[in-house]
Amino acid sequence: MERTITLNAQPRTRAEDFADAVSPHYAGLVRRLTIVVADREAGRDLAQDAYLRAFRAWDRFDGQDARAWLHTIGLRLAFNERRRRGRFAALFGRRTEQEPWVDAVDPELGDALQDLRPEHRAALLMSAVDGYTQAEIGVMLGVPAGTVASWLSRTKAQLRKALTDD
Amino acid sequence: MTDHDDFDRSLSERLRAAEARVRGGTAPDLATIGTGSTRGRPAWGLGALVAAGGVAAGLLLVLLIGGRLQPPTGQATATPQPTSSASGTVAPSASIVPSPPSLSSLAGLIAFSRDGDVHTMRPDGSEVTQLTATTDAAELPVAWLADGSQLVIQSTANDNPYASTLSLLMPDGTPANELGVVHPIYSPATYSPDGTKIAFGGDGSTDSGIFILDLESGMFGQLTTNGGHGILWSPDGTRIAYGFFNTSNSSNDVGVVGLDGSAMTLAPHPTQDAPLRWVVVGGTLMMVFDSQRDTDQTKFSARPWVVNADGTGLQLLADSGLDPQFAEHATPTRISPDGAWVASTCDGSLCLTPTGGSDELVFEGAAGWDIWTFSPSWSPDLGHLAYAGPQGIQIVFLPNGDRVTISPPGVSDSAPVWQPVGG
Repeated sequence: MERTITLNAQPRTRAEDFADAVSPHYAGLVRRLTIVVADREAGRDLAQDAYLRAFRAWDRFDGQDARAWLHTIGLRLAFNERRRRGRFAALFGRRTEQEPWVDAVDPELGDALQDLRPEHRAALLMSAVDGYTQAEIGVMLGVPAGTVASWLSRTKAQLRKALTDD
Repeated sequence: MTDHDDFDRSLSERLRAAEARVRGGTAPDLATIGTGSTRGRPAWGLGALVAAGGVAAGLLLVLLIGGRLQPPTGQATATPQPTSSASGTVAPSASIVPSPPSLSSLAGLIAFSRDGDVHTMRPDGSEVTQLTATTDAAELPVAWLADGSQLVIQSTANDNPYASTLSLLMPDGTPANELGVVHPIYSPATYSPDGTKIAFGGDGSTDSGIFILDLESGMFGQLTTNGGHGILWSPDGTRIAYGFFNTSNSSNDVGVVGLDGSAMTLAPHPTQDAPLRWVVVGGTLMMVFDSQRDTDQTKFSARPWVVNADGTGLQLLADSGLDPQFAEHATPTRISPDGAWVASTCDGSLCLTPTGGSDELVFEGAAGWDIWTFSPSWSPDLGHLAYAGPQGIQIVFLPNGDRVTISPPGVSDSAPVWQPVGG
């Protein structure tokens, strides 16, 4: 009779399942948050915070799209933190020597992005880079699709002017 | 193929390339959480802390932001630091920096947030008193009631950033009353033009909507249950325009709700609409809003439209003969109680515009700062203004713009709210 024996089989922990699903998206989350909040240090802090919160909420994850889920937590955290100004001040406003985040290869784009509101940067990246629809972006950022449409329309008009009028 | 298509494609490629060049990072090692073991791997700071002793999430967050232990209640820790004067469009009487003692005679306490807890201090920075001391939540002051008897604070639990509790505190920190739960993600605290009410747009305990806090009565209640995005008070303060998802046509529309509860939908249409600003033209109140109606909705094609407040007269803003600048989204403002100053933001700075025609004052902030970050708040005698700047809480002497920093160096004080008493 054939038997299958699994050596050293130990049940996977909740943390290991979480790490396997989410860790591949961590570096991308840092990049995204860094551009959205225009601060490398704050991007890293927020990503760590989002990662920890995601772990706490892992039991509620629907298993569909870990990247979108992690980004939703991170972006909402970033915008929510801005309004919880005690942390906002520490994360966004009190640094005297910010580590530069602007892309040295495309400084024109970096400067143009710097002039956008963080919410608008986030919506633009989710649309132009990720390919999410306005409705999907609205759900992820917690705003109506109409607001996203308005943001994108104005943001692209602003960027078009900044990047083509020079 | 249009120029717009080419630009969109080029922009996408440049954004993708730029993001790829931002330095990412390695995922924190969370596999040890709850096990008490690092399994031979270098422990990530937070994971190790949690594993080591079940440290409260709040403390973790405090550590994340470099927080520090609070000074004991009643100890004065702040020393006024004379700083420069206003910059920008005005040449203030910069040579004279007021000496700190001139602040000691000012009335009212200044409530503020430090490291996630609410504190108060005298306008000269003395008598710092810690009112809240939570490790699992972050608090900030929202407003004082009109008579200065109680302070409204907003508390957000660290493990649930999507709900905030509004509560009343006595000036000494004694809890007075819990007002309700709101998650003001759609529209942060937005003052009515006369400053007597605050509207929040967000999720409540059951429905999303607009929540009103009456600073004269202390009453808090929900005004709408169908949404509350982009709150815009009408100039007379009698109604609020907002965006909501209209289930009858499965699209976002612009709603208008009166403080008496009357409600209407402005120019409903099964495309995406979003409010931009109220305007008054020839005595007629109108709403300017973005809409995708009559456009190719697969493009970024929203255009500004205008409609009378009663729903009549709908037309494209471009066809109306009105100022094209009405298409700009209304800038959130705060108006001084006497109507003499309008505070707004301009390119990341705080702009104080006098309605009487004298010079505008501009105080630097940082990119992306909004009116909620600066949190301008007038003194009871209306001769001074407190706001949160890059160096902490600043006191401005009006109208010349001389300025004093009352936060001690190295702390992250924010959200000053001046007690409206003693004028």
